[in-house]
Amino acid sequence: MQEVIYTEKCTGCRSCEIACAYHHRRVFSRKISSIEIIRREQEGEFGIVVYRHTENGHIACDCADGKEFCLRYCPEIARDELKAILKGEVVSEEGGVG
Amino acid sequence: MKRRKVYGYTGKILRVDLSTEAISVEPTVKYAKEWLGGRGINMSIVYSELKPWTIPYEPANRIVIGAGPLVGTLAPGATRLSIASKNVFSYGVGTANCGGHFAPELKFAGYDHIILQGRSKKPVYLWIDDDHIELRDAHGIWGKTTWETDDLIKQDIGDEEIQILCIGPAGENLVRGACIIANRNRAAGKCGLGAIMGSKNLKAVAVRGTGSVEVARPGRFIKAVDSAREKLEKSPLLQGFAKYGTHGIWPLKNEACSVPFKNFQDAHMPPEIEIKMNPDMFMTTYKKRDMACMICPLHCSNFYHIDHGPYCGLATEGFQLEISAELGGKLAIEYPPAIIKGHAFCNQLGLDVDNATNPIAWAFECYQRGILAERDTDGLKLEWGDYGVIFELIRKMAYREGFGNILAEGSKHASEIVGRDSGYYAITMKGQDLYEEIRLPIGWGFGACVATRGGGHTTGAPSVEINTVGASEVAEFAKRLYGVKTINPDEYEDKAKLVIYFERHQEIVNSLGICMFVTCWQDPTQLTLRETAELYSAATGWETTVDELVRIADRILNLEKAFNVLHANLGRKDDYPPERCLKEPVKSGRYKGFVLSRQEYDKMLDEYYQLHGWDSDSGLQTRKCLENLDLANVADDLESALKIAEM
Repeated sequence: MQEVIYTEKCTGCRSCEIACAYHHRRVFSRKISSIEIIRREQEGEFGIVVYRHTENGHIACDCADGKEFCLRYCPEIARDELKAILKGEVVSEEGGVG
Repeated sequence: MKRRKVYGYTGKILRVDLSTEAISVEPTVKYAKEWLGGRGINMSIVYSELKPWTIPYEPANRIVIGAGPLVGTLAPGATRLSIASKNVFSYGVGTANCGGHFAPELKFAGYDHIILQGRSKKPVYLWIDDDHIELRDAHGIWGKTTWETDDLIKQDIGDEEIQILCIGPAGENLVRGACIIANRNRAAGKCGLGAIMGSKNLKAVAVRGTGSVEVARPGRFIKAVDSAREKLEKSPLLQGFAKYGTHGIWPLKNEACSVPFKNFQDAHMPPEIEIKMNPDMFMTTYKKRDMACMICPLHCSNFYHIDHGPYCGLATEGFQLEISAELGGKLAIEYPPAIIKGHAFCNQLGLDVDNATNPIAWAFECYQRGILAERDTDGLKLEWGDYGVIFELIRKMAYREGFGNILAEGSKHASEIVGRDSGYYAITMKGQDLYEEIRLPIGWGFGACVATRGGGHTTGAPSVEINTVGASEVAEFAKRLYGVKTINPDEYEDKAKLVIYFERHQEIVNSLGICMFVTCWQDPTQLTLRETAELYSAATGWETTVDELVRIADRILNLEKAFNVLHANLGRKDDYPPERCLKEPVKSGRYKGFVLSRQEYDKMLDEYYQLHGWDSDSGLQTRKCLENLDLANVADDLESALKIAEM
């Protein structure tokens, strides 16, 4: 079970998910990505899961150098937050913002 | 038989007959090169499968749902879903389009389109789980709001991440203005498509897709995506747009005299009321975060939360400019939380906001003029801005209760039921309730008037007449790009040409699945058809020029036009503005005294028909025009119906 990190800036656009699938397999998909956006539309909250290990078809994240392909497609306002999450600098707090 | 591999497209169209529960799959490729995708393929299917005598609520009617070939990829804004059917207002073309996250999920499940036909014997919802297709019992969710439906289906399937299109009580009750909702607040609004779903006993379509979309030339495609995104990041409008959404241009909209104040009695609202809807106030008081549709770098949507007053606790995705103009302008609500509430309430009930507010605005004006009284309105006093009464009427419409049952027919039909010379105050186009102020800007209004689906600003009306005010460099660039001499809001010259430019543009982006907000519709410095053609060519591997895309756009538009002629007998007379907009001047503001000239409008319409190769006297198509577009079969259909121009 991966941890969900709830965010402040993520817009829920899932560009990172689709970019990640392309990075791994040169196709566009959600289910093989190393990153997953959890959209809680009722509450207006967006969480991020980073798959550090392969799980349920999601391929393990294989880059942590700040040059991740997904970051290129993250909207500018949310990019620093995503970068910190990918680096493992943000940990989840139960139900709260990471 | 081995299926030929296609790129961009998934290659499959799902057909579900709700009467027989038969499920089949057809190849997309038989339509793709001729009709592009999304709106284009939808229209081709609707045209070939519906008979002119079919009425919208018959089982024989179709609802065709389409995600274009760029949907599911990284192309910016490629998330739009197009839906087509027979229009419940005009019986002609019914099309609508929504954002959100449904369309890409449909592609990942393996389908470009879904054709829904027949009528289920009992309430059902369609569950698409990749190759597993199932009609599931919907008794437990029939009667529920769209928000409840979204929650209940996710619980039923046991997956919070599935995507759902659904109807609310308005659709179930065949309210003409019923819409289809995705992601709780993304509406495929116009043409009564929600009522058609209701007539089929179909509460929702839910989808989970674990597959992928492949493009033909991955390296070239990513390069095209990157250059499109780079262009967007440089857009002068982007920052404001990302922050406010389209509501950011609210002050400009009023300054341009393009707000249908109190049921179009004026095109401009008093500044002391306008200021109450100030975009910055919404940002500081209600906005909680930015929110986006799938793959959108603009994130024009906002999440709002109300922490005071009668709607304290309401948390919802925010609204666009149209909603403030409807509730704040057309109905004169001055209390900002009521704008947020009204939008959410319509979405919950599955009512299109244009088609909900306009019959109410008609009733309010009739009440103002003594045409309607409390004895007609279930005892309600219809006083401008009274949001309590407005929400009660919205509820009554959705459930067809009392006076709401009349309003649920839309203002045109409602005025015919009531009589008493109330028709003048029913502001509609081709029978459908209108949001767009027609008088100004001239191109904007003209685009809404000639729109095949009956009003609406997303199929040909330009936004450039307002959006580039004050940005002279951009305005000059815009004129070169669109090939017109003027974009001034109060000038007639070249407005027919400008509208045709955007008719073609919107056919293309709607067919590919790109949101118009990332394109040169919103801002001339954003994606043009050149970038769009490159994305399409790289995605599909089929080299396609801008001219070839435009030709397909003309084919789709001509098919819509022919459908309107064959199914609804629409012609030149149906492309004219509501009488009020030709008679009454703008009463206040910068353009005070401006009257839309009938003579100039006639000339604009003549030019519009001529540029399309149609007959300007009747507005009908010619064989020559249709044959030039390889639509001889359509010319034959029109000729058989005695509806072709002799030229």
